[in-house]
Amino acid sequence: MDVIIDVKRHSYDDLLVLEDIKIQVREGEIVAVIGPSGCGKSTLLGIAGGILKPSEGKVFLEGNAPPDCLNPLTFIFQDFALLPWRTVEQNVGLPLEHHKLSTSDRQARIADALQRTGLSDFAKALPKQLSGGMRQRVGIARALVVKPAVLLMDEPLSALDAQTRDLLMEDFLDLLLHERMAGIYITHNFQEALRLADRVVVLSRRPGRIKEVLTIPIPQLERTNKAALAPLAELGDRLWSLIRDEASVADREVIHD
Amino acid sequence: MTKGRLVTTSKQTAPFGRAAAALCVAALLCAASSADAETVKIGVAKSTTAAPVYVAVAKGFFAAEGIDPQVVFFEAAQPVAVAVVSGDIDVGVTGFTGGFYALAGQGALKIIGAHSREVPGFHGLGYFVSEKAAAAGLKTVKDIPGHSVAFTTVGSAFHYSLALAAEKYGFDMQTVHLEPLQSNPNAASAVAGGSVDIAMVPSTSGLPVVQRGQAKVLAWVGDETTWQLGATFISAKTADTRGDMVKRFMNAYRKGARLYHDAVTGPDELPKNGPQTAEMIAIIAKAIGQTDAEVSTALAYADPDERVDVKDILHQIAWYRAQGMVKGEFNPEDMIDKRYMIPYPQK
Amino acid sequence: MTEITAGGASVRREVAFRGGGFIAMPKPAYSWIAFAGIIALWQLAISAGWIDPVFLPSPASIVEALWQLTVSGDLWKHLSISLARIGSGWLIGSGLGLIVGVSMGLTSAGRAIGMPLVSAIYPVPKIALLPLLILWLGIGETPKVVTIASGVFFPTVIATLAGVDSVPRNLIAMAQSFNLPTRSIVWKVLLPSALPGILAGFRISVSTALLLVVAAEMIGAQYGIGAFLLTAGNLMQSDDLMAGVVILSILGLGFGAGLTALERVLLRWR
Ligand SMILES: Nc1ncnc2c1ncn2[C@@H]1O[C@H](COP(=O)(O)OP(=O)(O)OP(=O)(O)O)[C@@H](O)[C@H]1O
Ligand SMILES: [Mg+2]
Repeated sequence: MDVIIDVKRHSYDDLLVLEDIKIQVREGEIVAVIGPSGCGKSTLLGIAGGILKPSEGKVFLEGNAPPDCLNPLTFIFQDFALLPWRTVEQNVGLPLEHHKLSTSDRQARIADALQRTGLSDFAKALPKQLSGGMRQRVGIARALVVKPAVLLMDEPLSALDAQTRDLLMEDFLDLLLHERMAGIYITHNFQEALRLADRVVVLSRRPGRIKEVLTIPIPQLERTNKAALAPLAELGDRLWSLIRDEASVADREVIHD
Repeated sequence: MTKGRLVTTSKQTAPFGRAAAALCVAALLCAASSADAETVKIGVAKSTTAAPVYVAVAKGFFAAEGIDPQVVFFEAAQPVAVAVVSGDIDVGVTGFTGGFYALAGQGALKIIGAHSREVPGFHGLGYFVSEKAAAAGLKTVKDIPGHSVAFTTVGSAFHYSLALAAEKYGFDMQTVHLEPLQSNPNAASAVAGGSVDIAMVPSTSGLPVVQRGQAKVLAWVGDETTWQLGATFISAKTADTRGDMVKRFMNAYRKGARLYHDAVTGPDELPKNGPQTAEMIAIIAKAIGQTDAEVSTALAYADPDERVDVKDILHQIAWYRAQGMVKGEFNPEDMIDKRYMIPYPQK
Repeated sequence: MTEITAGGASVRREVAFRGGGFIAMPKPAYSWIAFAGIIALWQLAISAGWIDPVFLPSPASIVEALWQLTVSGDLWKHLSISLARIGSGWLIGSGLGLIVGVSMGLTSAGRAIGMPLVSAIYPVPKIALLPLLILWLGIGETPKVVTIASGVFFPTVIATLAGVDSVPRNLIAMAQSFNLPTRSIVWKVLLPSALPGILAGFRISVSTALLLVVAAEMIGAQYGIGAFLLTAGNLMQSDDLMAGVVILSILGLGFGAGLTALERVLLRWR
């Protein structure tokens, strides 16, 4: 299933945040969105996922969702958004509760999601008992349990420390490559973009416009090879030069909240 | 008012009302005070029943005795007794309450004079009957058994008046449903809304309800049962250490009582409207902040010499004791200070 | 640790500790000792004649009054009647308060209508309205329960509203992103998340209910802790009065402990 974002304009009151954003993400493709702080990345993702209404523009889904998909557009949140009073399995089960499913199907989905995120032993734990990395695994498991067609990820690793981030990133990649999902991955971090994405969309500072779209021609599984180091470093430099000027100006702006 | 000043305090209920009292004392000190006169603080509940005090103040009788009178108003009678015990007030002039007798029984208070009496013709406390109960045949005090009666509190003047009526007509208090509602407005409201059959309240609270057509006057306490409503009292300490002041106080106070009595009372001790009545009404109205019309319907009887009905007081104490509302062993005669009071002649 | 070079010679000095403090450590023994000390001092002051028992009854006479109340069976009568009034008034007041608080938290219209009303009515002293309340509702149980319920209602509304407002928006967005129906969002996300605030509100409303039982029992009550207190006050029976105060304090402590236990169970996740 493809997702097609076509946002002409989005503003909060008088503050224009996004302008002329057209992105199509195909089934099985991962698109990273990178841009200076406050340029509208989260806004864009919210619009893509149908929880923000664009001032002008539309989002479409094209193609068929997998047959057992309960929620085609599914988010993974930067701050995990877990319900602290629910155990891991109750959190993971939350999106299933309003669907008519047999008990066995329900349990199978939860068990599968927990198993794939390495949480099987923590089913009865409360979020406060888990480390940040484990909490985000719960967030991922909760997304997997509905068998999504499009995964919308808003800086899912940025609240974690560097080692946890690297470990979880590999797991992420594993998941994304094994499913035929489309993924939009918002990040500040070039390394993440270069490791995960098929394409990188670079946004300008606010109002966010598409400044450039970079395609990474190396398959993800080959990017850890020695041969890939040089071209990836080059892409990294490219990304940095694209964003540096924008970021330094954005950094000096007065925040309008 | 030539000499004294009237000071209003808010509800003083705590036994430790010193801070509040200190406040009003400070306020008084700021005002110019007569140089040599002895300051005496007189505690009264804000009602017409303390008329002789207001008259003696307004006519300068206290000043003539070398007393600078400062009238302090309280929202109810009980806190006055407490304030006299604590020394915040020098002389109290209020109705009797169970609490008064409890304090007096511990030797803390001494009765030196009278207060108002409930007598025929004067409309102090009344029985007010709801329209519904009146229509259903509640016509006299004799009919009260089986009905509900609202009044302020257990052990109040109303409660005692009703007990006297029960004695007089030979009915059992157990057959009356007593509804203590803590305040006169509450009791008046209950009879107006018909949730009780009778409210026993002062005329000032009851008559407005009657005027609005929500209740009728069933009877007046004075017409039904004559009794001494309260007393002029001081602390035991004042009685023993400030005898001269107390005597001068009583002289001035009795002058006020005499003037007031003669102005509003005619032959057979019934109310009259004489040449000085309007002046008395104006003095009272100004003192308690009501209109002349309001005061004129609620004039209270005062004994011209503030004589103390000892037998009546003993009867009251016996009743409070029988109810278990006054505890402890004491001789009731001890609470009356014979050095200052004039006894009421017994028939 | 620190090496400071002074005049060529190396001087070693230990760094002095300068942290600590500013933390409340639980010291339950202190509370009990202070409590016992105050009672002992109080009794001593009266026994020694420093304080006139007319003004302040001694602890012994208060205990005596409590004992009398217990053996005569009146204590249970007063308590059961008052607890029934407090219980029903509190349940009604906080039930309605929860509903109104949540509706105000959820809908802009509810907030626009409710906010000014709450601000205007909350500070009205209920005792001042007793004559009207009696006129409207008579002198039976209804006005007593209504007095307590109305006192409980407002703090509950305010606490609930604050609780709902403090629910993290991202949790709501999460629930919406999984298409949870509105009703489920309220029950599964909003209310549990607002629960700490609501329970904190209960602490206030339970104390309010205890405070108001005296006001409620001003309305024609023969029995009840409030009625007992009022009568004792009217008759200047200060030992009974203080006994009533002690009973109310114990009730307050009991309710507080109950709520703490409830919080421990319901908010284990925090
Ligand atoms: N609900 C809102 N109301 C008003 N302004 C908003 C709102 N949400 C975001 N903004 C503003 O819109 C702009 C874009 O916000 P957004 O969160 O989309 O940026 P972002 O690119 O995700 O930033 P970051 O890198 O910090 O996550 C910011 O200036 C932000 O202050
Ligand atoms: Mg963002």
